[in-house]
Amino acid sequence: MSHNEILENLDNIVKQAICELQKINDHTAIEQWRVKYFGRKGLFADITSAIPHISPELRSETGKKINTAKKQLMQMFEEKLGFLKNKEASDTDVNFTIPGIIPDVPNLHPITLVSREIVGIFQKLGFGIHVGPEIETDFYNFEALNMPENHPARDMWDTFYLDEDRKLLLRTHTSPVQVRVMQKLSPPLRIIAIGKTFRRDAFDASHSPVFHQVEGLMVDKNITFSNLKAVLIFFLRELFGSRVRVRFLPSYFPFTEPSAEISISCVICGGKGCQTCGNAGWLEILGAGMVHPEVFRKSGLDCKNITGFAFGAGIERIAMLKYGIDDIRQFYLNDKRFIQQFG
Amino acid sequence: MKYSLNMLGEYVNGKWSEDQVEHWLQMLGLNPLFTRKNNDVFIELEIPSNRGDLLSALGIIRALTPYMEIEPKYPDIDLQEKSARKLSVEIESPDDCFFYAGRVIESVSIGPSPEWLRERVESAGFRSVNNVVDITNLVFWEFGQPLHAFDIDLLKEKIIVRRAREGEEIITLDGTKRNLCNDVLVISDSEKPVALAGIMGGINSEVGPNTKNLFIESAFFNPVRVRRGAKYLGMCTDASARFEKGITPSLIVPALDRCCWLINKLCGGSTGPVCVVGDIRAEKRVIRLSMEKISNYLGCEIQKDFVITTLERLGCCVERQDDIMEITIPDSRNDIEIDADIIEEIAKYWGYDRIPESMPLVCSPTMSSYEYSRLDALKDVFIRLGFSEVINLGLGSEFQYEDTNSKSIEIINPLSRNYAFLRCSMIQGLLQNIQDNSNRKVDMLSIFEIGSIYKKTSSGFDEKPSAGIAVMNTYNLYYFKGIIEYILRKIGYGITSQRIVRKEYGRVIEFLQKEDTVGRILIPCDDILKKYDVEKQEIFLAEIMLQDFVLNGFSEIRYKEPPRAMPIRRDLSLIVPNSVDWRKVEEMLLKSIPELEKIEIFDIYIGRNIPAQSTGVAIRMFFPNPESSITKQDIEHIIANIIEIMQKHFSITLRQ
Repeated sequence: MSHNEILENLDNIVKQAICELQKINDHTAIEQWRVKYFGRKGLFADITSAIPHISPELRSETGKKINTAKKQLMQMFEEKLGFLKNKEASDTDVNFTIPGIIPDVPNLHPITLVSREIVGIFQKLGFGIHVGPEIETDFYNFEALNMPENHPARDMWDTFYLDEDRKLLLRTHTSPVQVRVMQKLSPPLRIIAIGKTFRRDAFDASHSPVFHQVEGLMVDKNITFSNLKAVLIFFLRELFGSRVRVRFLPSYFPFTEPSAEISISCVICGGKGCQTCGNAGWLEILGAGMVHPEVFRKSGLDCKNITGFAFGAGIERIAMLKYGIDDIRQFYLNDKRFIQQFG
Repeated sequence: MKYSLNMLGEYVNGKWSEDQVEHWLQMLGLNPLFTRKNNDVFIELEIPSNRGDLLSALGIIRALTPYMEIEPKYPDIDLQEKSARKLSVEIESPDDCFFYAGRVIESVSIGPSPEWLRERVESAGFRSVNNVVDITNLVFWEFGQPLHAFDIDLLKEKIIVRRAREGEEIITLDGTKRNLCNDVLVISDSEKPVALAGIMGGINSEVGPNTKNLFIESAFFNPVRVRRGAKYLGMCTDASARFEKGITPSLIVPALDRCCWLINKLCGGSTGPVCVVGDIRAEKRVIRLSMEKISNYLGCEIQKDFVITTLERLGCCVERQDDIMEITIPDSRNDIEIDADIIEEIAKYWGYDRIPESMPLVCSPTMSSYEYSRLDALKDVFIRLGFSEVINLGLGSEFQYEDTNSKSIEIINPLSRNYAFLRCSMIQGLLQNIQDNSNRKVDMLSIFEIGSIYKKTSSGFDEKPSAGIAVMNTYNLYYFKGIIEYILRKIGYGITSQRIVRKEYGRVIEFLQKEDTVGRILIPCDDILKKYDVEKQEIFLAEIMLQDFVLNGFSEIRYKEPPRAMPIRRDLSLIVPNSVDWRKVEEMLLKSIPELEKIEIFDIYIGRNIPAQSTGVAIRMFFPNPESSITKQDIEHIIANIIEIMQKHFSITLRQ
């Protein structure tokens, strides 16, 4: 073979070797490859043995070229070998079929989750969030809300009392916060209040002596019943989805006039009638109305130039409808397996 | 009371259908419940507490007239006075009884009611007793005026409307003996109470099979008085419910007359002249209202014709005076007191659903109170630390894990002994949560609760925000303490000292900010663990007072540039006797070794290889950056010095 022939041959061998190496995917094949090119009778041995036959001044150059090619291929060979070893090892040292271990993720109580959702909706509308004491006076819980002593409407709220004179009590609703806020801030104002409320109701699937309420109040010049409707429909559609239908019917609360009871089309059956809605297709969700002038007066506001609306809803009831919880007692068992579902 | 649709129909001029009635009762917000039985429909309604007028057949029909082409048909009254007998009536307390009317009927024959009457009173929800009693109930159902029949021969001399005297008693028609007090208004004769005014009659004047002569009462008792008496006695009757909501003064005498006429018709006898005491308050209620006010209030235009027609059909008298209407309210509607009440009537009959929606124009937003936003944000701190939220009722039994000088607040009318006190600490509720979860085979728990605790103080009742924290098998004491210390720092509390207090329920680490205990860790004793059935679990609890946090907020975040040069750091593993106060060790080292910048504890272990009464503590010491003059040799020298100080003053040794 001439010098040029050897170089040409070398070039072909290298090209072919790289091409073959790339396709190799297991140990047997790579060993065959090694023997083919670098074995004692391999192609490189072959080509090296041709060196003595060429002219002496070109031998050194040819030898160098062969060596360089050999080194390059050996390096590629080692890399491939390493890759194959890793591949096999990683296929057997781990069992990928065993499921991962789910971490114990801390969760907020569903009452907090629903409260935050409600707060978020009203914050979009510029409402501020306020709170009030749970131990209330008769004045804030009843009298300022247009229920003087012996008013029959007081029977709507069975009350826990803390003193014999029945002047201190556990608030039966969050409505006292309306009065407290109006005493502190002057209109225009719009607030919601969220918190615990207490009623002397024995536990059953739909009653709890302690539950949470959200209360809302908006007061300004020219606030109308039509505004009340718009705000509450916005709220309910944000909370339960844009397809929910909202119904307003007359109701009675001593502290609002006109008063309304607001229902949504049943979130379970869509209004066709089911167990949850008692086949009515509607679910009562909010009580609302235009603030009674007497409440403004008791709060120290001049009711001549202002109007306002107020509303209230039970947080547990909303949470029960949102998450499909059928027993209010679940909220207060604080079972880890319950709370963990709301993460 | 119940209403049969067939029976209601007899009091209607005009035509209606069942569907219409159901629909419009719904639109009035009365949540009608229709039950079909024997070709009739029975209607039950939820009557709001201000609508006494709807507790009668004629009242309900009146309320439906604006919707339909109907008019109430008043029942026949054709009473003839055939006797002259009267009974003397006195009202001792005119504030309790505004008006009292009655008639004597002589020579009646008592017996079972005819079929038509029995059916009627039963369909209205009453038990048929005898012809006279059934007639009083029928007229009550028609007019909403409670009536009572006495056997006049069992009454001594006269009728006196007065407060009961302390110690008096009466057996009411339901056979129950009632002990009376001064809060209860009674009808008495010259000797004894014979009825509870407006609530229920007495057995001592009951109309029975042998009764010959009657006295029929139709009165207007003060709603508050009836309510207080009924509440005191724990009674609620159809009559008391009606009186509490206020009756219709103009129907008192017509109801009495119809009742007497029906008795004469069915039971014979001759009726005497009406005996009347008191004055029916005849003051006319006139409310002035403009169309503008209606549209401003509702946010939509309503036609004037509609307004006037609706009000007139409801029995109001509307006088037009330019733009302002003068509306006279019928005396049956004592719920209508101000213009907003009339606007509600108009909106109701117009239909709430027909009022369009419009978003209020933007006014400046109202700021939130810090109390809500801070407490809510604190929940996220706990979540980041791996704690789940619980919410407890906040009511409990008397024993609580309080500090010694506070008293828990008692509910005077509790549902049960288990829920008779307001919590004055979060601990009790959290221990209950641990027990409940442990019973359900939950073996690890990290929980927190944020809520109010309540205490009796010298000045009254005190309600404060508090956080409770509890762990079961998730952290050892030192890690738990670290979490509590982190939170205290995070919420801006500068802890000036701690102290260990032994309580009967366990050991307590108190964290003090100046004089005030702002946080506590409770290591419950074995008795408590046993009581809650969690002896084998590692349980720690803590409570943090949040009042200062609500006022001042989280500790302020101020950026400090992290040191650019690598600090010199050395770790030591120590065995610290438990008698050593670690804060003193730190204090002494920082004081005597000026090069030492700070010491951090990064691990704590007890148990294997650690002698008894000692704790293994791994510390990390930081020295200022190497650009200062400290050399490696210096550091080695300083470390030797530190070890010597700890050995000499605190018997702290190096762990091998």
